[in-house]
Amino acid sequence: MSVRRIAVVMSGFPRRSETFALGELLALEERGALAAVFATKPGESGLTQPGCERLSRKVRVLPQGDAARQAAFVAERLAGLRVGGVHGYFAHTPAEVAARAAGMLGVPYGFSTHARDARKVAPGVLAERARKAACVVACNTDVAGEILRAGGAVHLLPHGVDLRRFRPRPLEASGELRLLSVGRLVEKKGFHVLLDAAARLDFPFRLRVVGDGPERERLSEMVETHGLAGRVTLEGALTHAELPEAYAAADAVVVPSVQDSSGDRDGLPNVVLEAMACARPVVASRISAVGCAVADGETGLLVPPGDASALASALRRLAGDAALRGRLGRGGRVRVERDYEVGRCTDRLYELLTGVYC
Amino acid sequence: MSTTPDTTKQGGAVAYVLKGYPRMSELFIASEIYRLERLGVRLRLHVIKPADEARQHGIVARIKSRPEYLPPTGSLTKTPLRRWLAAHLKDFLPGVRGVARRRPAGLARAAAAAFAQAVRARRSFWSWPRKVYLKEFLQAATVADRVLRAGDVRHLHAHFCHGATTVAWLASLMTGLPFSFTAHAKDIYCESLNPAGLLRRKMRAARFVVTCTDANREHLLKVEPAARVHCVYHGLNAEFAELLGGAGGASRPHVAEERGPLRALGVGRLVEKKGFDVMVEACGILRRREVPFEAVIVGESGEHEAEIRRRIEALGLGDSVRLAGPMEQTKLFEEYRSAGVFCLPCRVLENGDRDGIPNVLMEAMACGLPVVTTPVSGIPEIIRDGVNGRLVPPDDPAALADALLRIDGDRQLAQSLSTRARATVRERFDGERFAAELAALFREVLS
Repeated sequence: MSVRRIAVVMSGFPRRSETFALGELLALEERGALAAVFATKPGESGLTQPGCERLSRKVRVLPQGDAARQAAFVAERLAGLRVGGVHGYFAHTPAEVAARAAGMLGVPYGFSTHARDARKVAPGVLAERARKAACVVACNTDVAGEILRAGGAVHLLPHGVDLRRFRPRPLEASGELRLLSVGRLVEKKGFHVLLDAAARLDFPFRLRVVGDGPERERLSEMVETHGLAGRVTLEGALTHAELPEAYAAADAVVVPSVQDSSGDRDGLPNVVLEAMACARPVVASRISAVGCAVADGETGLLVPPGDASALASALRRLAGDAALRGRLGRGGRVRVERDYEVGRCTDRLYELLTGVYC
Repeated sequence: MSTTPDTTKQGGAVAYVLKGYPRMSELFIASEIYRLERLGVRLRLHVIKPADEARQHGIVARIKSRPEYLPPTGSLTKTPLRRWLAAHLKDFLPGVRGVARRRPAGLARAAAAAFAQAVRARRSFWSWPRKVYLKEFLQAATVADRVLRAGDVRHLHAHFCHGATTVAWLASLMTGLPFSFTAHAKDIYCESLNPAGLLRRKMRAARFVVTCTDANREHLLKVEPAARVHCVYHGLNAEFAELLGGAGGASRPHVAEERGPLRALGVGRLVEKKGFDVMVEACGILRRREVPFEAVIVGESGEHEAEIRRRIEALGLGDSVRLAGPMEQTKLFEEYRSAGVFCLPCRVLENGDRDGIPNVLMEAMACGLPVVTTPVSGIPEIIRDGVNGRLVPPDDPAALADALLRIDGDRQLAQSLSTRARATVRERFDGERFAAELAALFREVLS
């Protein structure tokens, strides 16, 4: 039996919006496969996710500097340990640091990629980095396609969702359609499109937008100018414990993602899988990998990204049809149980990474 | 953005097919054309009916494209076919010959489509094929011939999805060029204008369909779910936007400073769907309650004018309700600025005819005039009751009178409706943005 373990290089860690990273690292840690975790920059403080403190003891924030310096620091820390490989958790700086450190240690490297991280790297550099890696893990088909086009091999492993934490709970009928949207308040989440659509709705509804971010001011101004005060609330971020409650209290979950002005877009936002796990119908933009999880008319409704009119139509359709909402919600739950159960997803990640590095 | 207009210029022109142009009541079309030109989309205007309006909006003079008119025709429905052909065929034959030379197969396809439609749409099994499709076929041939001669047209686009779109569709069959159309109001909802599934057939054949409200879009998608239908609002027209910009935003005196009688303003053609008879009835109620008021209705004459006048007469409102006729934008702008409340009690007619989002409603809101209207068709997409305007049921003069009184009596409400109405138009109905969306649709087919 091998006793070699894996070192992981993160970006900022921990981060509230990257629960999936925490879950995956914990899965490696619990099985004794994690040698060390490095973060290329400091994470957010005051997070409440369980397991966070258990890992944070293992996390070392690298001194600020270029990738070469950070890699030297990693290599120095790992020297003498039985490390089988260094894995960058994102395709940009973390992967670069991982590759350099692995080179110094004479072990293989690899990296995971999610969405924007792949687009932060010049295509030529990404191609080179992917070809030389011992393994590349993509969490959705959108970003996997980018690696394939760059000429690398890629393993497709979704993050998965915790089916005990997010489970279907009954919801009392109401005269209003209760909508929920979750995500950082940044352009690519498309909340501005959702507010445009909401302003067009002519039936009773409520919309809770959960999350915080730089667009907050612009969005609350829109709520005001669109005459949506009282119907739409920007609630800020919720705690780990409150999020499942929010899904349970919603009739439908909206994921209005768009490609932002810099070309960035979501991969497969976790909110999609969480909503489906809670058996809530998802109304989502047909963008990047969202369509892999949301089957139009089976687990949710898909609309063209950025099209407020089409989004309003889809919401109107759900508002008038409780049976449809029920059917889409159940379909979503069946789908995540089959393809996105988190334990099975992290098992596969564990097997893949230990197979490559250990 | 700055480089795209040039590529369009190299890519070719869009031929617009319009029933009439310029029309006082269709400023939104002139405004769209003006904005598309400024966005670098090259247009050729083909107009089916001769210009018959003496007055026109100022913006029309600033449009570079000159309209090309088709040969004039009389009504075919009311004339025996032989007499009509004897009078008009000679004007259309050169077009037919031109297309026959260049695109004989296309001409045959269009002839087959027009004839099939004429047969399908006949009034009863024993009736003759409908003649109107012969006329539209001949008109299409003239458009097609001109388009082929021009040589630079890559796409056809029609406004209103009945006659003009049928002409564009047939011209598209003749030339092999793609076409699209904008559907507005009556043309969508009156089935008699597109009998025997004609609208569905045109939607299938079109590259894309544009319409100006979500409500229209949903209706159209029910007609043909597989079509590509885009909702592109009109937004505030270019001329009005300039007037508003010139007034520096302070387009209307602060609501709270006003005193004096209630001044109600209605704007629209005098047709039944605008519901001005209900406005007159509401004025009658105000009179009975001895509320001092004056009312003005601005708009060109229509089939409902006699009925409206009859009611004004019957209620003895001749001294306080004035029908002011059509108005240019600058004068209308003054009306918006001096009124106290805007009133447009729209209704849906039995034949399905209805407004979309009335452009005048948007204009009134842009001026910060509190509005009272009804929740029909696309109006709920712009007005949320009690927030940026008031919604009352259609055909309910009492509710309308109450809403007018409430706004007149509650300065705070009036102020808040006014502020939010202004914000709604500014944030959500910017015409430049929608023109850019339309230009992007054209660019897609031109590239």
